[in-house]
Amino acid sequence: MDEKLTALETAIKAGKRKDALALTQELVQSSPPGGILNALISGMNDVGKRFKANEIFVPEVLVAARAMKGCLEVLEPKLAAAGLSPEHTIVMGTVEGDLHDIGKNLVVMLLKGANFNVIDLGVNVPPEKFYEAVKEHHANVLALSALLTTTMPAMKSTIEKMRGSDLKDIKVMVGGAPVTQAYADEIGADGYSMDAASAVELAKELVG
Amino acid sequence: MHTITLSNCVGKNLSVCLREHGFSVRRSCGGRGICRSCEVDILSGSVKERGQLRGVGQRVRACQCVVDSACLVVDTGQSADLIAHVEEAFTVLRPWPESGETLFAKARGNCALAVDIGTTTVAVKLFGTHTGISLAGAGALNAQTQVADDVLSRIEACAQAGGLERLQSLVLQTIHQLAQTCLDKAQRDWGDLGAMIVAGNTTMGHLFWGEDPTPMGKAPFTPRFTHTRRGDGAALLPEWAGIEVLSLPHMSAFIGADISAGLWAADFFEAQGVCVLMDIGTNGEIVLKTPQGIFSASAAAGPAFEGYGLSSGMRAKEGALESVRIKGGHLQTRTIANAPMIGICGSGYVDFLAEGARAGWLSEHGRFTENAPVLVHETHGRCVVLGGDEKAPVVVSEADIANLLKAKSAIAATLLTLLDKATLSPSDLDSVFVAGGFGKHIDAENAISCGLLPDVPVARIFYLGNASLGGACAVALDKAALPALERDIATVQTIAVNLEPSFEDHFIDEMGLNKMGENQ
Repeated sequence: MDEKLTALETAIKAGKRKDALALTQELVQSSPPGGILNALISGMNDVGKRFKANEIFVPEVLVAARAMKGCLEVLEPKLAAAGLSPEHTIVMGTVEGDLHDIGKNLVVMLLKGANFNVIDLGVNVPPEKFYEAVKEHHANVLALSALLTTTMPAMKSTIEKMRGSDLKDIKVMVGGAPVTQAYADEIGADGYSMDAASAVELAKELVG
Repeated sequence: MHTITLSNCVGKNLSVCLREHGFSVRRSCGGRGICRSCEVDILSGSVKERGQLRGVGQRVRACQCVVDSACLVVDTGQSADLIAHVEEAFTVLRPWPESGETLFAKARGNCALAVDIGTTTVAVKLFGTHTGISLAGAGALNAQTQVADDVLSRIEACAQAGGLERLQSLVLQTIHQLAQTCLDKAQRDWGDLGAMIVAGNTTMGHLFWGEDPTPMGKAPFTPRFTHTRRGDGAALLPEWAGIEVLSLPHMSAFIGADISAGLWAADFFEAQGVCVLMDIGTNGEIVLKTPQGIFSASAAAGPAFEGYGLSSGMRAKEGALESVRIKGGHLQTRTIANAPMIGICGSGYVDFLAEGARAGWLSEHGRFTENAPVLVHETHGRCVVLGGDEKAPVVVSEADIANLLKAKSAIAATLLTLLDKATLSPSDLDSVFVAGGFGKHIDAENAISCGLLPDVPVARIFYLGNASLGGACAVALDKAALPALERDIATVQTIAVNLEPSFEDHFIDEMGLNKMGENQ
């Protein structure tokens, strides 16, 4: 059985979607879901590390993340049945006025791969919707993405909305191609990450 | 590494100085200091970045710096200047109008000017209003690049007081100077020029007329107008009084009059079977005609195939590597004009990707294999050296390949998503029209094998060159053209591809070195 778990981890690292899915489907029949999850997390962890070290690039991370996404879909009901729900919840979305989601989806996949419960609100999300989702899901972190210089100000208004509410202490992290640490500081975000792999580390720090 | 020495620039903005020295600094955020696209390394001398003194060895954002020392040497990181090539040549595929009235029958004089306003460059063609005979052509950098590089940053600039007026004035001046150049070349004067027919993307169209483009900066991306506009030139520049100015209709915020004109030049609506028009650029516009309808979308490809953001990227000019073959494990390279190699242009990159995969140097994910002569360079990382010398090697790095694959994938995934709307695959395409300067020099077989162009017999691929300019000329020569074009483009549906369910899967599938749609 350990062999199969190792094979799953390897398949995730190499982004072999079909192999990873077949292995997961086989493993869930007999193996405890916690162990399968650990194999997935460990595979994605390695991908994230190599990405940070510039050993691999976005295309390969996307391929690996998608492989893991398919496996998680199979695994999630088993995890829920075993009472193994993630400890932390993150609400994430692309801010109002912006329809870009590839970068955001990559972060969502990597966060799931690091065992966060991620509530993905999609694109063009107004501040009120972020507020309601954070409240409803008792989220620990709010993650905002923007790909356009013209929509970055919507990050600011979303943060203002949170800070002026009963959820003013929510940890907010921001990212996206035009966003910088300086901008994050200016609008009062708790953290900024320049790429998807650092976003996972940042999220861990913010809940730690 | 590309060093630029600036002398006697004390007190001036560094990005402006670099531009004056011929290096087109990229400023994705419009010079607001919130992105890193204009970063340079200081090799000698000093600057003040937002008031802070910076010196040797420090990396600064050029747009935020004032030159502080009489002599300043910076490394711009790019191997060569990247001021874009202006494409003036075009091929019009539709038949010459048989007879009848031309569009500007009542205009004064006997010359008309077709204008293609590109975000980066502006190209014009002076022609006989009634004869269609070309009299002169000219092209130049769009002076709006002084304010910001890309469409979004220009929209952003209009949110500030006076921004719109400044951008409008800059583009009108660019056109005015090009018109003057053409009139001089053709030995005509302003009294001979009776009409001007203008095409450009939707934002350029707004800026030309002084219309506020800011609603196009965020969803739902609503343009102020898309229709054909005409008026007397006096409303734009006093010197243009008496000139009939007409701008072609746009389709949406992202599919502009340049594409409308391109469709006309390609005779797209009359072409047989399933066909596609692709404009491969920073914003890759795609229009697909199928029995189920005509769909259009724009792909945010980014400027990688224009050489931006790559270790040794440059535009197609003397000294650019334009062709690569790998035979028996050995590189065979050719540069434009056979000059010493200083960088790599789009066609060179396409060749390298395809040949590299074929020779087993590159894995399916675009990583170098053990077969490739890889070395680890201190700034470029794992790379293959194609030329240059020890001080300034011309290289392709793994990071470059990842950038190119992302750009390719955005274009391919957009086309595949549109094909899905009609349950078609790339091999169903009867004609592929390639607009823009990109197509001319690329090896079609290699573009197909790395998945940038759809896998169809090469005879089905047609290069249009500057189809925006060509289409504008063609519309002017036939009075019946404009109503027909307006009717035809009204049938084109704009699709926000990234909201289509299949887009993300295609985007990831196309990240590899595969033919388009091969990984499905």
